[in-house]
Amino acid sequence: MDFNMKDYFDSLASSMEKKLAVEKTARRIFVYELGRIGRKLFDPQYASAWTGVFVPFEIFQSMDVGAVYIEFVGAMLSSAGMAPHFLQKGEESGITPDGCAYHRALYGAASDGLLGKPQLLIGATSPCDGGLKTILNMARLVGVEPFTLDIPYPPVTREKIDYLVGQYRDMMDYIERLSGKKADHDRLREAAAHSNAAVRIVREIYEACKQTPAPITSETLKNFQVIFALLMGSPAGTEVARVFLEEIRANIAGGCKDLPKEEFRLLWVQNRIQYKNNLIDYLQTKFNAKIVVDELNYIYWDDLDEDNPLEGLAVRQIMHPLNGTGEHRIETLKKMAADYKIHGAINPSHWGCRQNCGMRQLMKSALGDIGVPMINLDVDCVDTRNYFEGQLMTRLQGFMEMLRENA
Amino acid sequence: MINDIYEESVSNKIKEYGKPAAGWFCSYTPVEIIDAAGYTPVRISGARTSSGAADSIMHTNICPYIKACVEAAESGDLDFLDCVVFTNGCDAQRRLYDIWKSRKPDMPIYLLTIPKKNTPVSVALLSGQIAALTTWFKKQTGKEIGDERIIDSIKTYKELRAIAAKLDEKRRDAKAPIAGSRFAGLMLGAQRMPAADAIRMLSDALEKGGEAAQPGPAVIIAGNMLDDPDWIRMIESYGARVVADDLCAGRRFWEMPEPDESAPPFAALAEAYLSKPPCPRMAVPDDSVAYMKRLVESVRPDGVIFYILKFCDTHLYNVPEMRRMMQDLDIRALFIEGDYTTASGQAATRIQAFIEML
Ligand code: SF4
Ligand code: SF4
Repeated sequence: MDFNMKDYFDSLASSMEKKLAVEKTARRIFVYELGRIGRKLFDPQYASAWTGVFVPFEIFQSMDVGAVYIEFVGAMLSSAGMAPHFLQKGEESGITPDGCAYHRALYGAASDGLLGKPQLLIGATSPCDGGLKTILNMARLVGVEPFTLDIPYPPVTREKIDYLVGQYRDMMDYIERLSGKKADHDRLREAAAHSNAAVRIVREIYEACKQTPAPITSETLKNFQVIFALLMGSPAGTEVARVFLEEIRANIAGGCKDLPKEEFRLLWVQNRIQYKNNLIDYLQTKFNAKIVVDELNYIYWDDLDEDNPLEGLAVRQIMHPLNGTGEHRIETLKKMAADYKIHGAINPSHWGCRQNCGMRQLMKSALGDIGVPMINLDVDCVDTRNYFEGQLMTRLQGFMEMLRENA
Repeated sequence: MINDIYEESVSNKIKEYGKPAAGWFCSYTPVEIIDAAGYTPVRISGARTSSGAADSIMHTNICPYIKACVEAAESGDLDFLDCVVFTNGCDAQRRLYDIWKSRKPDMPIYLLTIPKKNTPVSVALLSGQIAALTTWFKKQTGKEIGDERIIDSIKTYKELRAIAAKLDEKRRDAKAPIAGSRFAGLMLGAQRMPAADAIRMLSDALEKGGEAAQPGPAVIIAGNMLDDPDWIRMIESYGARVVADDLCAGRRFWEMPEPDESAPPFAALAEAYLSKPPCPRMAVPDDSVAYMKRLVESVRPDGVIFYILKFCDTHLYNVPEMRRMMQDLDIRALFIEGDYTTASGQAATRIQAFIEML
């Protein structure tokens, strides 16, 4: 397949740059930044890294590491409509077709040599086995030594913080050893300050979404955590957050008149469907149902101590809702459902995601106990090959009718 | 006799030991602590038939062993257990813990978290976790578990593992080898009885020795949870000799460096467990693929059968590399994704064809 990741990111950034010159919207800034993040992988000014999904990007910012998490690449291939080809490739290389397609798509593209070669590979034991195994497989495939962050489960203890902070220091040594990029305390402190500033703005955005109606559309914050995580610790992160906030404030000032109607408030569990589909639009136009919060966007951590950011990063990583037992995650979901006055929750149950599928009934019953029905769809969020929209719409219709009866 | 130990209703047998029973799943569970706490450690096997309950409680795409454990728990077959120790061995196991907690609220359970790295700090962390597990057992029993008891259990299991190693060696004996299926039965039995009884059983078997060597290709069986000697028996019925394994309930149970007797017991255990031949869950430079390579090079089998349960990411993600490695070593390999059912069907046909080819 005629595809080259560098060209893809280049054209994404430059086409968006042109559009931004005409009109600056939050979503355009978002896509523009996606392109710029991707470009960094090929920019000699930065050390390139493929990483796990929940890793401390602030450290990378402070060391001039251009990092993307591997699921970002899978999502990007899917949204560009190129996933099936690479999934097939991954399967031909022996990767199980029953695993997570985010990883398999990456595997296919990397084994075709289309993604280049990163200088660094940094995996983490959370949120899933597949993610770490993919980083370790990539290490063999591209011949780069990997580094693993071993994340202890909640609750946080002194011992666990020290364990993880020690690994962050080892990781910084690893980055320095492999790429020559140096750790710098002042720059890390600066990154923590940027991260805190961005998070404060995002908290304000989320606070606004608790209002009825929420001053967003179902798509406004789709995949927001993607860019937000990747830009954590950079001025661009704060800038993206600020533009989103401005847009949201403008919506509030206008009485949300230009936004679609909101009769039902929905919580989206875990990841969105990455390829083009009509489900969100269907929910909105047919039922006035709006996604007002995404589980993965949630901010559950306090500001980082700028004098000692590593500890705060460790706490953040340990306390991630997808890390550890299901109880921890369910408590977070219940809190979100209550805070955002949610009527119903949708879990795509992304095929191959064991940590999610394995607890989907537990989530459903826990949310059900607080009066929030949840539907478990069976959809692969990356792979279009088994996507049957009609069936999914029928199920969503049944779900929405049930919510309507409950109302 | 050996198969009786395995096949007899586990619950009835366990009661005869006159001790409470503690269930466990993962080969990183420090059985020494269970033993020192006065429990019979019982490695849990799942139900071989599905009622569909686990599919609806979890999802169809979860490890069939884990779902079979849910089935067994749901059916009441595991209600004889007095407590269960889980680990974060893999995503499916951590979800098993969640499900168990919600479905069996009255059964005391404990989740032991095992680091995925083997460094001095992860050893220290695991040492603390093992200490916490011991404290939990003390609370369950209301009795002290002194260091001496733990040191005794460490010694007992050291002895058990040493005999298992000799038995394993005997599988490759040129004159009177111990059959792979017999070895599998012994290992499973040893994981479901007090260590002292297991030592007696294994010593008897060692003394009795094997049987006259049969001709036939030598194979290694590798994979994850294959806890059914009938599988091995089936392979043997097609004329192959199963001369070694790399399985959760086989080698990964008994092969472990000796805990350091001069170190404090929790630290010694932590160090030994993290230095075991690595399961694919571990993120260590000398990983499970490298280990498998060494095993194949030392055993030089005619072929390797990889029997890997479906939906097991930690093992299945190794397949491309294992394939490459087997090609490099010029050893024929068969890769089967299993569903934890009994030894028959399509998998059996493929195994038969593979052995014929060897
Ligand atoms: S969707 Fe699930 S399996 Fe895939 S990367 Fe995310 S957590 Fe891992
Ligand atoms: S077979 Fe694999 S998925 Fe199943 S319990 Fe073992 S490691 Fe986990």
